[in-house]
Amino acid sequence: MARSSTENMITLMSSDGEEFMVTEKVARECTTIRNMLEDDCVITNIPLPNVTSDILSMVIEYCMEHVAAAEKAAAETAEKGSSSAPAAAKANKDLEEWDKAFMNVDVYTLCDLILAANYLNVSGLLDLTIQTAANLIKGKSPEQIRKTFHIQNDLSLEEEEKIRSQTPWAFEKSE
Amino acid sequence: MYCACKLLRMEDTENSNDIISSLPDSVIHHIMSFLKKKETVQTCILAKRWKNLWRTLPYLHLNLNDFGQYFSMDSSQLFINLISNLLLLRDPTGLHTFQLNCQAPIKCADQIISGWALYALRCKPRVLSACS
Repeated sequence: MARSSTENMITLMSSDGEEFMVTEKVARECTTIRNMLEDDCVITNIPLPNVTSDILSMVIEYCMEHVAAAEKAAAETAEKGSSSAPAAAKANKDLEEWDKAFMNVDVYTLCDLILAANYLNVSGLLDLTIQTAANLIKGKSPEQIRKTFHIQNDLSLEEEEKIRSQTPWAFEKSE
Repeated sequence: MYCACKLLRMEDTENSNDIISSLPDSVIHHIMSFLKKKETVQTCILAKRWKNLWRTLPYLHLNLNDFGQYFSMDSSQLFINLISNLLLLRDPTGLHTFQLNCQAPIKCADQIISGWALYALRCKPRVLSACS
């Protein structure tokens, strides 16, 4: 895709010192960075001490995909004068499919992505990752949830019984 | 790259495998807001870290349709007890959203609904909505 040569580039630096050069438009997908840029418009190098390079590269990949999709939709609208509903619906569906494939990660990566999306304030990515984590919990027994997320049960049997007895209605069998 | 990261984490602390429990409360609450009430409360027995997390959940979406199994038992009282218990046991501070949806075939006295609404008002949530 042709990119205008005047577009500002921003360097993002991960906690492990790797540098990622992105367009300002992509960087602005992160509200935390957008606010920094609005406070100080000459800033070109942003250290992100809370995000590792492997996670930052994924966040950038997500932002790039979503910026490209928005640009494509805007270009099509401009070309045709008005947006075509079936084309827009297909583009939305494609992006949803892309998101779904993007979420094919292990729970460690998922939780790291949640933390990064939360810190960088990328609302779309935060919604996507949080929803994915909730889907991994839904419909599972406590034992299955522990297994999925490698949660170490540090409660004794007596403690667990005591907690259960405080909210017995939550553990009644339904259906 | 990822493996190196995982190894580092394992060396860091003993229980570092358990990454979800190390997320901040606000993030776990965000995840809980996508679960049903019962599923949210059930997390209390996962581990010590989870024991009281549901009690401080700042989002309360009470949708009577979520409790479908109680309608077939024709036991409105059971449902009412359930909600009353939930409100009684949760931590009343920091309620952000309170939503009550009573569009379901259940007999629930206005008095009781008013009681729940009063609870919500006392907690001063930022978002308050009810429909019946």
